[in-house]
Amino acid sequence: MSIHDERDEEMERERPLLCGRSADELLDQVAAGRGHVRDEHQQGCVHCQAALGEYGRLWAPMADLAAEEVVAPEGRFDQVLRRLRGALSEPDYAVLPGPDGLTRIAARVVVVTARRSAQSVPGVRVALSRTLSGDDEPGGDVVAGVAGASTAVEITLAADYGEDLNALADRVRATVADRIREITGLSTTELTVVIDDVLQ
Amino acid sequence: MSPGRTGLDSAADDWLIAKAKEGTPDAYEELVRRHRDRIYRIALRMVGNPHDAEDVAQDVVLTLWTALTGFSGDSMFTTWLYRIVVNRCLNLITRRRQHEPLEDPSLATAPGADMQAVARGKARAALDAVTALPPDLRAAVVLVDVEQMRYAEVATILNVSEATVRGRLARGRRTLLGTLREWT
Repeated sequence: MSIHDERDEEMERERPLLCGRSADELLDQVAAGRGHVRDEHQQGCVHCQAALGEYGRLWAPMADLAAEEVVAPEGRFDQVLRRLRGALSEPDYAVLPGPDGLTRIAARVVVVTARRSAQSVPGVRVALSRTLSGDDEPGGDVVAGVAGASTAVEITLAADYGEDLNALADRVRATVADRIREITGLSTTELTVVIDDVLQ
Repeated sequence: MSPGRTGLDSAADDWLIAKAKEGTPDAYEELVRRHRDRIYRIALRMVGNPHDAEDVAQDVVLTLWTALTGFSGDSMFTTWLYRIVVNRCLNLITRRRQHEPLEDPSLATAPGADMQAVARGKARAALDAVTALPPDLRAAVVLVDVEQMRYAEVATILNVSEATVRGRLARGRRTLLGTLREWT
């Protein structure tokens, strides 16, 4: 009878393999993904080889679980973040006139677009953004005129240490302005880049 | 060299926490965005079903917002965050046991049948086996064997010694192995 028929876990823990090796240590080895990395004893021991093979087979679903990619559903996170945002500020909107009516774009969209595109620039470690109203009034609307909708954005970021910061700021400005135009149709009249910190 | 943009980056976390404490809500949002998959994943593997995992995740995001001012920075942000996630899961599991003596219906499907479903069967069967473990063993197994965290970090998250983590892990693994053996 092999140890695998043993149903009493406590006994299994206490009882080593016939070769004297600890069953728990072998399981540890398999769970750490090192079941195939065998020491000199294990290479010549049928008991260890059988146990490692059996544990490897049984543990495979756990390895699958660990490797499984899990992405959080957007809905609930957005819902709770919206609640927090709602408690903190009033929404601002840009207004884009079109032939059949107005398109309203929340300042939030510009902020998120700016932040994400800034973060995509190599050398930017982490970035935040906010929209600036045309008349500098906090909470004012993003300005959108008939000659073309526009927005002003401020990006605050932490850069990777060692970057040429002026060149980085230029790259951020170019990337963010392009992306905002592409996604929202708004042109960026002013894009202030504040490099707040450098991170190792 | 900077860590991956979506991976763990404690310097970026600290920067965002400082900004959030200064009153920049966008900083908090970015912090959540960086960690939400891991929050949800740990919750899913602790509670075993998406609905409860989303409840836990939502609760964590709200709790974190109010608790952030109290974060001293003595430990890593992620350690502190995962402790909140695990504790919320353990609370939910305890409440569920008190109010719902029957198992969650989503877990009541025969694990043997799950094992035969090729596409998602093995991982799902493992998840069922993990969520059948007692909560303290389950937390150790989820954090070490599924989330691949180090013993020392798990000990800090669970607020126990490293020896206790190893003991719970050994018991949890033996139980898991027994369950998986019965299902195959």
